[in-house]
Amino acid sequence: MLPKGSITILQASMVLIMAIGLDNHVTIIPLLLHTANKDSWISVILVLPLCLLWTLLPYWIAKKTRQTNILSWLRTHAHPALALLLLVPFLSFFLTNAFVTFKEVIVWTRTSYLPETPILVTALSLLALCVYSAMKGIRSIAICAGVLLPAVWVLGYFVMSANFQFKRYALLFPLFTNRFSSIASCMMYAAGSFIEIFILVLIQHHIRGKFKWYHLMILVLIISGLTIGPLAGSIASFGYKSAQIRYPTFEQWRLVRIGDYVSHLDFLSIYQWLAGAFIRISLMLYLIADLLKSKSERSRKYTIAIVAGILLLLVAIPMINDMVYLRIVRWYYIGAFAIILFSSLWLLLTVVWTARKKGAGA
Amino acid sequence: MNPIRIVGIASAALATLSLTGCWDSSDIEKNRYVSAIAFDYADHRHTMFAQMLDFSYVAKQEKGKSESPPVTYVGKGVGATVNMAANHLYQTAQQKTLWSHITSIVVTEAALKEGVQGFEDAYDRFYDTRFSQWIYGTRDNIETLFTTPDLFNMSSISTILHEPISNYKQRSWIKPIRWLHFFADILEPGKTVVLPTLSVNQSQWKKNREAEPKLQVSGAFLISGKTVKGWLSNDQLIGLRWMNPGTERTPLPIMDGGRVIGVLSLGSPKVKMRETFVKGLPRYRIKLSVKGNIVEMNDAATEQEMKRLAKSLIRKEIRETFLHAVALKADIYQLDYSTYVHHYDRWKRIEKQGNVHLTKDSLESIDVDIKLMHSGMLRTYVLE
Repeated sequence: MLPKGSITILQASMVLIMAIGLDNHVTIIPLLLHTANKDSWISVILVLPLCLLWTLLPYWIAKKTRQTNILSWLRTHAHPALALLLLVPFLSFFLTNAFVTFKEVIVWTRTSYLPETPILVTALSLLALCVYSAMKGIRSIAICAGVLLPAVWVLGYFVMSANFQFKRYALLFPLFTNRFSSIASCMMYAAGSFIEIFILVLIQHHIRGKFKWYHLMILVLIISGLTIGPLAGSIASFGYKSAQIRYPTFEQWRLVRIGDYVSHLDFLSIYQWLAGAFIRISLMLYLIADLLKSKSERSRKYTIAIVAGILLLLVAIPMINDMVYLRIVRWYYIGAFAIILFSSLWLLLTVVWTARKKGAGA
Repeated sequence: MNPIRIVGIASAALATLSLTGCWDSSDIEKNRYVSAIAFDYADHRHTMFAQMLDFSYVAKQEKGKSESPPVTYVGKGVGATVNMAANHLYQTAQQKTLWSHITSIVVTEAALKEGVQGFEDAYDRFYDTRFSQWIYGTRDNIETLFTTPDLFNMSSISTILHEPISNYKQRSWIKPIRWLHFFADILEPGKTVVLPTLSVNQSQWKKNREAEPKLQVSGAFLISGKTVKGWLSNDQLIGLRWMNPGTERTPLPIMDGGRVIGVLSLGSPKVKMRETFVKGLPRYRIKLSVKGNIVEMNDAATEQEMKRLAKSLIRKEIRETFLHAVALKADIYQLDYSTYVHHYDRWKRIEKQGNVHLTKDSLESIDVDIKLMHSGMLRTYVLE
């Protein structure tokens, strides 16, 4: 039986490329550079095979549970307490996730191109859009992602090639000048971002058609490419200075120059960044409401509105300035890595164990 | 229509319309665009100069070129830091000053010696400035430098201060450097940054019998590990052009004894470096190949003879500049950096032992190969 869902695998992939892509294209890069500087790009490459291997875990989980709602499956096939064990960490993860994205895009808007516009205006405009699309559901988010992604992609290649004139890839070397511990932390942060594709398991019941093992692997490859590209680009452009730069990816946009007459094209990055943030925040709002499995459509909308209110409050309070935020981000990636890795492990064990028990009983 | 819906649409419209810019919009004609800035330092105070150009001389006009010389403004702000100096400039700027269209930054010797950090941080931290600008050093007066005109009544935006590339392509001597490369290289251990210096040449050009000053690159500061090692003139840097892969064409007079027998125009050097270690310290062997053609011949000489003389001249020039730099304890050909990249462990050991990385004996040999492509519009001159 083919799982019945409202979005296709391609659509789900595009949502994830947009949502995770923003995070590992933008948010994580200053952290990686700060941790291992020139060794950061090789750390990402080193961790990639491990992440590819790990994709088999979510794949087996989805396969054994036949892409039904994972929480309902846990309640009926295993134990309701286990559903809670999955629910609570992921709820907090998604909330922090949405906050990190939201805070970053709003503070960036403030520091880079709208220094005089009140934060409340930029925050409310973006959040209103996200709330609206989250309320409309996963299908609407997926369609938006499909419309927004191609232009984001094209612009990404544009900035990469326009900057070849400034890049000196010799600056990527020498390798391994950092301590092993910083390379290891760098690997963990990067993995924490890549294995976010575990979200697929949480939305598996919305996906039409079975996903194959290579779907997940291709997805991880694409997502890791999104990190390695601007990471290596930043080192090739700015060398060791990359680690000092607050927005290394955006700084590359600001370099773009074609001949004597074309420059200042960084406004195009606003589209990329806002498109990514929009999909990511919408998805997180949607997932929180979906996990809580609100009884009626009305209470689902209320959940989204309340979570959005919390986000707005968190972004607006002055206690969390950008310096505090950067410390939060470090812990966020450690947390993400731990939660996802741990959950994928015990979930797989549970799934395998239940299947065996059932097999023995039958 | 549902009232909630109406309120929703209305507030969405209000939010998106208000976003188009009540807060951060400004009228273009009122903005003051800075085209170049300069940093100076004296008596514990930073000085910042801002050059502003009249844009009507930049834009193409229907009526043709203006009769009057273009107008250039140079402002000077002084303060305890670079940022304070910029704020001091605002005091008299009359309207909003925009820094986003700067194309070039000039730094005086005093500011460099005070430390690049002094002006780097303020410039990079500010949201409106970018990293792809040109950077120059200077030992001249900034106000004179910034008001030196281009030829004819052209805007200064086409001087080498703002657009050095086409000039460098025609006469490759010291490669212009961009802000991002300057600061990336300063942080590379073992790397020596060659920062071209601008000066004003008062005598080379006459405008209707009157001398008119022109900008020129006069030499370069050698900087490594954030300290200024010293300054070398164009003549002292004569060998640098052979070691820079960016060199497109550069002239070489072929001397035999005291006589010039011809001139070669050479370019696209390919440099290979090999290091061997003697008692833990590196010795470098340079292998160089250049391409070019004959541009002038005054005397009979075979191609073989020209090449032989040219090779030994290039070797001599490379070594000469190398020794000038070593006298300043500077490593102009990035020999030490080559060890840092290719033999990181050995480099670290030398660093740990506190040894001097480079001496005048470090450059063991230079091997030059020349490929002559053609002899211009004339055949090589052969005496029967």
